[in-house]
Amino acid sequence: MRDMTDDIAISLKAISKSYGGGVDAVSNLDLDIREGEFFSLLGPSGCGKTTTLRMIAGFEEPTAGRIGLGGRDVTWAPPHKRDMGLVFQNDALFPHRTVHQNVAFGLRMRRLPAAEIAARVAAALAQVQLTGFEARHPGQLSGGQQQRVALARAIVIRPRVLLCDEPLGALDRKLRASMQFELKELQRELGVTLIYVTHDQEEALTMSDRIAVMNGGRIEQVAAPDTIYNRPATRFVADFIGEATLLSGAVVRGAEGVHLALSGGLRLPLPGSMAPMAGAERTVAIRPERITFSGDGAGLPGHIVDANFLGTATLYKTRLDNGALALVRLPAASGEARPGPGDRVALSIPPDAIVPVASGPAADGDPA
Amino acid sequence: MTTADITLDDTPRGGPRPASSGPRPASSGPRPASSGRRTAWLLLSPALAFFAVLFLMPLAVMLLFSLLTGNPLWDDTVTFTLENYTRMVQDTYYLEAVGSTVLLGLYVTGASLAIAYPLALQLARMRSAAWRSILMIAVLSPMMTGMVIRTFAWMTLLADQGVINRTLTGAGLIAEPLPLMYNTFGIVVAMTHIFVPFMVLTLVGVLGRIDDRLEQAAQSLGATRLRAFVEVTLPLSVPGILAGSLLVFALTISSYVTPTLMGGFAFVNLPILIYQQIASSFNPSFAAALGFALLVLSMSVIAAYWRVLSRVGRGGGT
Ligand SMILES: Nc1ncnc2c1ncn2[C@@H]1O[C@H](COP(=O)(O)OP(=O)(O)OP(=O)(O)O)[C@@H](O)[C@H]1O
Ligand SMILES: [Mg+2]
Repeated sequence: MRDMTDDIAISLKAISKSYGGGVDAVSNLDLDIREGEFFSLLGPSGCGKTTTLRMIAGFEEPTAGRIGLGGRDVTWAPPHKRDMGLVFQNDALFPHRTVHQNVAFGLRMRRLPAAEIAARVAAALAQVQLTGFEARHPGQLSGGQQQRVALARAIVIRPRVLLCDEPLGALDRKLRASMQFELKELQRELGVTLIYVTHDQEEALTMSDRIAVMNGGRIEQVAAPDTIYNRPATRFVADFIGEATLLSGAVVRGAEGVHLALSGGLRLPLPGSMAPMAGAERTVAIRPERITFSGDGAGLPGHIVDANFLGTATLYKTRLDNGALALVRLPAASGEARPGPGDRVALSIPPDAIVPVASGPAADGDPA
Repeated sequence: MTTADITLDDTPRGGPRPASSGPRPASSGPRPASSGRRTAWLLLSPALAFFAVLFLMPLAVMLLFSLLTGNPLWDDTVTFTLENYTRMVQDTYYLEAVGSTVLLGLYVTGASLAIAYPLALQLARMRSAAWRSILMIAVLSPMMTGMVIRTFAWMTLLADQGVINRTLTGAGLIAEPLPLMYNTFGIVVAMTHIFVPFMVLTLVGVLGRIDDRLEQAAQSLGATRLRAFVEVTLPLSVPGILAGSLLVFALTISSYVTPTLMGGFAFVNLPILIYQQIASSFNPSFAAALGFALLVLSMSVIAAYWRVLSRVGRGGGT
């Protein structure tokens, strides 16, 4: 493994930000973002994603903590000395400039020769599929087109770090998917470190090398997408990313292994790895696609409350006999008779699908 | 401008804006034309009546007077003549008055802008609402006092025997009092003091609507703070600069009280000239002609303003 300190593009150390009024928008944040990484900040609205990004860009000063950029302390450096491209949540294009002038701005600030500016602007506009729009003003573009101009304006300067605050928010599904792909390609091509803010978990999961899940100004978990999805560290992560069934009870070690003693006398067999937790109250998370209805009646008894057809699968909302809700996702298969609302079922949950989750933010659970 | 124009201009920020923010034909509105327009005219009619009776009619009378040799109410030998206008152009005294009117307008506008712009920028960017209110009150409070009173206050400061000159001579720094009053300088000082709040108000409106993130975007693209200001905020505030300047210029060239008091008799502009013609020379016809000259002056400034504004609205950029 290479020396870690060379590898780090941006490091946030114990960063806090308070806007006054007592509540911290961001509190005690530690993050190390690696060179050339596609790193996502994921979390619900108001959790401090934009604030974090603005501190990295230099538009907000942290109330406490330090920010390092490639080993240099930039906590107090002005924005124009940080060499970061920034795509704002609401594009922030210059309304009095044409598309061409907007994209050329950063190159002009760098005093590049006119011919090079023209060539690079044309290339950047082609990358975001806006060739032919050069002479328009931002007011004459759709919301999605404006966002793409903002993206072109940021990538054309080939920054060391590209900061994107929900840059694809205003795009329709199809264009969004194609832009996601383009952005990922572009990031790989340029080798740029990209910090991507989104509240769309699917987007974060498909695009990122690593994801930091934030909640209420804190980091819940930093890990690769599959880890975030399959081994959520906290209750919040399990719930926020995809769907999950959360069950709580005491971990009991018995003759036939460990199980979770749920209320109503229900018992959920646990993986052997949870044996050391015996005696503690724990919450576990199970992804809906890992649960099936057992044919032989073995498993957790309950009944179906609701069935939602999703096209490729059906999502069943079931209520266990102890009153807890559980989600079951069965892939679509033709011919088979499907249970419907009101039917009694037994939920079969394989022990290896069960993930213990902490109730609050945990320490950095990144295994990498 | 019609009501249709006003509602169309009111599109929300960031939403699709029309191509040009300059004047557009009223027919560009998508609404059914006839009934909506009739309502609009109906709503406008009180304003139109007011405008016709109190503005157009006096103007017509004034135009008539300026073309007559005397007052037709007590003199029945009056005839039509252009003499009032030719007199204005032939006598350099009157041309000089026109010149000093325009110059005074330019000086006061420039000084007001130089003082008001940084103030307005600060006001528009202030995050704390409480401080913004305090500063706003501080800027506007001079308007609570009458113009004459403020002018007298300046006279006590700037006169030959005023506070400044007495202090300086008393301290032995100067032998003769500085010529601070009874000249253009004194008038500019007093009038700038009066008009800065107008300029600030106009500019704050425009500057406050410029998104801070535009300058931030410029900075993230490598512009220094100053460069970001010059490239983004300054051009976007041009409509405010023009509107404020127009207001101050128009108010200055038509002002009478402050130039009279601060200028003594050393300074003559068109309003002073007009007053003299009416009050001491009893020549209402010539006064009317001078009034028309003033009107033409104002109108040409407004026309120039619209030209520049519509060019900026179309996105003159660099
Ligand atoms: N200038 C400000 N003054 C006071 N509070 C602020 C300011 N900016 C943000 N906040 C608060 O800080 C918290 C974090 O805001 P932030 O903009 O970082 O959220 P976010 O995660 O980007 O949300 P979203 O997904 O909605 O954009 C919010 O509670 C917000 O109300
Ligand atoms: Mg945000």
